[in-house]
Amino acid sequence: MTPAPTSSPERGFSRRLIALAAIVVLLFGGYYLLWAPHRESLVVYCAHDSIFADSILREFERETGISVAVRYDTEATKSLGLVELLLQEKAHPRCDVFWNNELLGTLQLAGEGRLLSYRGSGYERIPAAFKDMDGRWAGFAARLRLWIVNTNRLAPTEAAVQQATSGDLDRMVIAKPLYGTTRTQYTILWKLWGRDKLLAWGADRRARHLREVDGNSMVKDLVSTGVCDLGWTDTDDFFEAQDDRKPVAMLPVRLENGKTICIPNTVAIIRGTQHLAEAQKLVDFLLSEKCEISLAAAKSRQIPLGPVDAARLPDDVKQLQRWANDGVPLGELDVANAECLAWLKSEYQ
Amino acid sequence: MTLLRSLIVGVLAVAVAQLVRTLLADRRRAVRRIAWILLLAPYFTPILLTGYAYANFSLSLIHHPILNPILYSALLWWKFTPIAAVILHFTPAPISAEAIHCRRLVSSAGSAQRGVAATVSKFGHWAFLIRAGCAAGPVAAFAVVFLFAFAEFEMASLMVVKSWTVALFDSHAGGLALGESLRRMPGPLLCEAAAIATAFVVLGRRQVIPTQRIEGRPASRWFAWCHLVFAFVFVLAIPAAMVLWGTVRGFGLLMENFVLSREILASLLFAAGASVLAGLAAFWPGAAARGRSIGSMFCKAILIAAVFAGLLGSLVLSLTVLAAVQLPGLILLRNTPVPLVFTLGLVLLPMALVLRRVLELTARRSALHLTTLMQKSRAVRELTWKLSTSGKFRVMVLLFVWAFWDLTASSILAPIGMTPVTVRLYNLMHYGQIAALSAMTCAAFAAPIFVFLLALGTRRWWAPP
Repeated sequence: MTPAPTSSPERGFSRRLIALAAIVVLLFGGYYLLWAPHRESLVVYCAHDSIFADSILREFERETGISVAVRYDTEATKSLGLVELLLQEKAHPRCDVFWNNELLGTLQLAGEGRLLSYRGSGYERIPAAFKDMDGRWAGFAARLRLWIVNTNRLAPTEAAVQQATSGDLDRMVIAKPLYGTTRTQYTILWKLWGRDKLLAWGADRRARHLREVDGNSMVKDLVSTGVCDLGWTDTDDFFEAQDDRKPVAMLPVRLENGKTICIPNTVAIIRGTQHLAEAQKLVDFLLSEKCEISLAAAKSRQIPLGPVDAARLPDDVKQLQRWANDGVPLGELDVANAECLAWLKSEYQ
Repeated sequence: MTLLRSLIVGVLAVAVAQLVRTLLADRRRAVRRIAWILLLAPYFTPILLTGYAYANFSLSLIHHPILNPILYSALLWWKFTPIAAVILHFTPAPISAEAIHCRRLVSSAGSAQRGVAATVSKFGHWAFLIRAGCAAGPVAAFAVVFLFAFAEFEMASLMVVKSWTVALFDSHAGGLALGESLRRMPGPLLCEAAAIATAFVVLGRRQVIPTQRIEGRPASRWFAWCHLVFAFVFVLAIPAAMVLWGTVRGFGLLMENFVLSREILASLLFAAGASVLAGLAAFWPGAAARGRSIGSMFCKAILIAAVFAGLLGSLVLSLTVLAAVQLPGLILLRNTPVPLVFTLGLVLLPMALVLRRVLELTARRSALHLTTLMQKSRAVRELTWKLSTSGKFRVMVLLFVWAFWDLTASSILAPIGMTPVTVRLYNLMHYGQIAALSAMTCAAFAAPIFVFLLALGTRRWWAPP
């Protein structure tokens, strides 16, 4: 007689899945024990590009022995991103230090009371124009807003740019001003001109078919490949194209008063941090001469804001430094930031 | 715009799938095999790879604003036609072509006798086919393709195409609360719910799968072959060639500084967790949900709720979970893998259930029953593997690969210190197509293949004794 089956294939498979689930849980446990950040790790939210920031933070780890766990902003999350996350986490903060790659988000957090005051050795070496007088944030390693020009299509002179932007703007491209440094540029214009003039200016540009894309790197790609003739971008994106031997040249974006737009990285300690001493060490490290020189020597060519040994700077950066000296003051942008952002949201969302 | 595009993609996908079906059911085994490979390869190509390959090209179309959405729609069409073809293949008309032909002959003779116009007769014929359930497969296929095209986010975002998913994401990027964003999106959510309900109702009633052999006209067969080849080339071959070309040049750099090992390991763990969760939910409560006891009804209700949540897509679901883990009761889970594994598991669940259903419908039950009556032996175990377990194993592999290549949920929910490789790659892709990055993408590709080969070595363990 044939014996009755002891288990059905269906049941046997489910049992194996349960066993597999147990193995996966064990593996997660192993991963956590070996690599996941410990409770003592300093949590850093970093909006600066990971390929540049990572080496700086690893250097800090090596120097101080303090373990750092980083959450980077991604293109995928934009700034659902870090500023919004920090605001959402207000009641239960897990971030200790916020390394922002621009200023406005940091100003917003300061305005919301999310930042702690700290005036350490790094803070002292940064010029007053690039730090909060109450010590809630400090700027370092800046970028400049630039005209990027395709030299096969246009001469890289102010006159040629003027000529190219006087009529139809079909061949000019900028990033959507809702995010990033283009938003900073619009906010500065809001403060200088006031609401009505900026709105009229924006409407006029759109009527003349100005192209808007999602980010500065896209602006760089479009101009460097000749799809567009010129656009606004940042120094780091420009140098990427130049290093790729694309036919591009740069000119600083100048406001009506002749000032340039120099946008620093900013660093701040988040209120509610459980690792205050470690956070202060990282802030001092980021604001140090050594860090600024490292960022200046990187492919992004960030401009040092504090005093540095000029002999250690690349030639490109020396030129940028001269333009940055004409930078428009970025203090007191809080009101313009809120108003301009409200307008931009109504326009772009 | 998204609605119109998804409707068109859905209709075109079903239309082509009808032709492709004839190749899948061809009499010659070699033809069937080639057709299946060409059909499924584009579908299983990670969307990140396709989006990465075409991001620069679509950007260059900035002066031709119509061409970019057309390219995107074509890619969606090529990528999602396999879903329609598979559904049609496994849900053929419940009455045979011969029976339909006989009925047509009988009714045309009857109409001629009664003097009824041919058009009325044709209308009656269509009505008969719909009443007989012949439209169920195409309707279900359309609903599912529509749903996938409508909820697509990653490629739309990489190719800068306007879509409600990208708009939802952007509104969050601007700081809009989740509740407010969802209130702005009742239309899209209603469309998704309608597609989900249609697919459920239509597919839920199907009971049998006759494996018929179908003969198509030469012209339609040629069209079907062309479609399959184009889909293979544009969705898989061109992107893969670009990555491989970069890999050749960037291999040295990758070997010098292999920075993705932790990220790949994290992705493998998340994928394993999510696929096991979805597999368990599909094969365990999925089986328990049959029947009319209170327990079964409870299982069914939970499963339906989970499937509905999963079908909303990873973007909406991830944002909801992100908001949920900020609540006091759930805040402890915030920096753990739980939110991401749970979300990915839910996203995979509907497909896991569909695949389980396909397995059930294609199972050779009597043969399987006979194996359970046989004396335990190595040969019986091998037979059980072939008849039952290998299919489930393949389902688990598919779920694993899907979870591995997720980008949206991973970028929103991954805990600090456990960044999945897709997020890292996507972040690096922001800097354009470079050789080292292509090599990294290739390495990330190799990881799940390696795991699959490893898992295949354990096949005896999967077949029950």
